[in-house]
Amino acid sequence: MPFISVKNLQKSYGALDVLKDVSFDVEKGDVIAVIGSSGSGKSTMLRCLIGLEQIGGGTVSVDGDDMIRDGKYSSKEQVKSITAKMGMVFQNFNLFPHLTVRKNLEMPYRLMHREVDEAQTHALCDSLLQKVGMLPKADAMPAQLSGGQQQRVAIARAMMLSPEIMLFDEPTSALDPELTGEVLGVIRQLAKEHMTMIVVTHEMSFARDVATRVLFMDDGLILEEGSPEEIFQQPKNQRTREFLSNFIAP
Amino acid sequence: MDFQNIWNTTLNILTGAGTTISLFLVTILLSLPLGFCFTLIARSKIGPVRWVMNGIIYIVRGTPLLLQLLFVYFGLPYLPLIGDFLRMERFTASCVTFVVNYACYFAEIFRGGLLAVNKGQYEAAKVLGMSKVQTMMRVICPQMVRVALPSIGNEAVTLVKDTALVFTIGVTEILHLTKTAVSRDKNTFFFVIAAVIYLVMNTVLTYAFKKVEAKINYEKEG
Repeated sequence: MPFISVKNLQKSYGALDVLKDVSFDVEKGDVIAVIGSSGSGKSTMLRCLIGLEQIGGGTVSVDGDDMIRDGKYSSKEQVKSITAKMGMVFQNFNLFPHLTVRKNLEMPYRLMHREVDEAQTHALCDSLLQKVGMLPKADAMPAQLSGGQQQRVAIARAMMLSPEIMLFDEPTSALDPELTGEVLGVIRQLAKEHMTMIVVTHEMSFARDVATRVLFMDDGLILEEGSPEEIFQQPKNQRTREFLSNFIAP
Repeated sequence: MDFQNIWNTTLNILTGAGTTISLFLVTILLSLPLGFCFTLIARSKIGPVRWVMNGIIYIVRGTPLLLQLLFVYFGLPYLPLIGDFLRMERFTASCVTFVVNYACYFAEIFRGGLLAVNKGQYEAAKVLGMSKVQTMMRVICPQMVRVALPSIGNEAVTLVKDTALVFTIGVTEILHLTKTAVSRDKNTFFFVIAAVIYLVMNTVLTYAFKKVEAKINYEKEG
């Protein structure tokens, strides 16, 4: 049984069908890169999974539990316990600007784990900041950090809640090329540790090198799905070929 | 000039400053939380609730505070049936009017402050498992307050001056005692003293707000 199973996912804004019929499975340890042009529904798909957007129809189940079946949501508690297994990193970081780096990590964690004492929380926070190379900035405010540093903190903040799967929504699109590398480095590191991830990205070389599977989305549909080799070297779909031809092979 | 008399009268006016400060404190302490409640009610999902709240804010902000004060103190007791229960002491009537009036202004300020908070903040809080109340208290409000604080400071300064309006319903605050002294001694100087007292209060207030603003300015770099 796949860890996440998405079947016939649909979503529309009024008359606009953003997701027409999206189905895919995610196995534990998968790193799935979702590529495709802007407006193809990639981000919406991710946002539907974690409950930021209301799904119009279809079935999503995580770890055997239904979040939504044939367009009908499970109970609020069940949906919450399912989305709690996911962590999300946004294009615009969305750190809490009024809190220090450390508090950004610790505040949500303490709200969820009231039983854990401060020393343990500190230790967990330190180890995650260490991992993303941000421990020296633990007491800085977000405004004092570069975009790349903010995104690394945002990744550590999501990891703080021990998610079983991480969703990345164009994590490097708001960064200049120089800062992109440090964020991708952190995601690569997570991949090495077999973190299950879905990464919506425009970084083709990253998708090719890190992903275990690549989904190509276009106009609300998954047009092609396969290993990085299949997608990047022998794309079957005409539209995939067109899209990839815009990226110069390094 | 009789300095002894001026000194004694000044002390007398200062006792009125006590009333002014009481009215100021009661208004600030109650109208800020009430104003925030108004903001939330004005954003309610239930249409009629929203309309009534916005209607109240519209009326209160669109009519003179002085009219509202006279309405509450002199007008309400004439209402049929319930009028007798709405008879209030001068100071109480002043507090009620000022609290509601300022709450409506603060509601508008808070509304603007909420709009200034990025939508991504709600989403980040949600995916981090925070409840709506937790999100409001720990993420949205602190950011809203920072945006709203300069405007709140302005309103506070205006409030200090507005307290003089309760003179009209006979509350013995600074202006009331000053006017009495001027008439009694035929001496304009007491108006200057009253002006100085208001200036001192507002100077202290402005300084305090500057300090708080600097303290919560978390976006300073470096």
